[in-house]
Amino acid sequence: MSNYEPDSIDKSILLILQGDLDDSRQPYLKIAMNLGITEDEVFKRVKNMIDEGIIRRLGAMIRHIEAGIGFNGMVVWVTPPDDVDTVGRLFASFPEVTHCYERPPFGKKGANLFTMVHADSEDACMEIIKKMSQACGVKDYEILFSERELKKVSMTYFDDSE
Amino acid sequence: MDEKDKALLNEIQSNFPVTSRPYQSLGDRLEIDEDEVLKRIARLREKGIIRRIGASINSRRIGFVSTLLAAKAPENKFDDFVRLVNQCEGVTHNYLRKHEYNVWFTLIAPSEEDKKRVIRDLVEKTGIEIIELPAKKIFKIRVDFKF
Repeated sequence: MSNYEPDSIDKSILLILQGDLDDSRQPYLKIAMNLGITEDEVFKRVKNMIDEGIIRRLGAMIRHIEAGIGFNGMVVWVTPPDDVDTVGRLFASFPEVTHCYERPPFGKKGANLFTMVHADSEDACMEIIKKMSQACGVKDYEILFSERELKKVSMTYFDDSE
Repeated sequence: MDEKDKALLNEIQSNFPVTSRPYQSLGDRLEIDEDEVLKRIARLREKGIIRRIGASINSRRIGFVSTLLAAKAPENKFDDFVRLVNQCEGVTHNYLRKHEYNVWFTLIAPSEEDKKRVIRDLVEKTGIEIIELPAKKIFKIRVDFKF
């Protein structure tokens, strides 16, 4: 990834895009008029920030509970240090796995790979987790099922005062 | 949700068009017109399925730090702890989980110092120990869901 830093116009665009686009038929034109630049300039900058990895994703944010895939299990895996890369990449290839990270050792056994598995039920979650374990041969894992979502918001990065 | 809604959700989560008339572009891909795209989006918003339409920003890429935190909150302190955690601006996700460590939350902060200060404040105010598990390596972040 390059070291492209968003300038003040980019930040103004991000400030709008981190919120909610209303259902205006021409949302980019609206941003352009707000910032006193052309719509083409907005396109160029948005595309550039996507290419640069500053915008990870542009689109609809979903409430997965309402969408019927409300079950998520965080699974922590005790993986031999030399296998972390191989197993991490293997887990990442499962479509039901939305997040996969190596983290510092957790718990008495030192679980070091963390995955988030999304499904429509606890049983479905369990099935996927079993398959993951079989695929990589890691038998030592712990599942931390979500009981309740206590907070879920999008981060506000740049406020108006900046 | 019918098949068109599902197709729309699959498309709109990560491929929101960067075009003058994005809803028309979406409609072209799904073979429905702009009005129907907007109508379906409005309905998915009403149902609470679409939370917002916008950008997910890579916090690391703009110099922010993010981390995962966990705590063992006893029943008698649980509500107060969760209230104080959720009050923190940079806490974006917080889950109650079936585990000895029952509260798991993510924190995004403008700097390492800010992050440490937020954690220190929480520990001081609540008397509950917090463990930090920042990512050492990211294998996958996929926040769009297949319908």
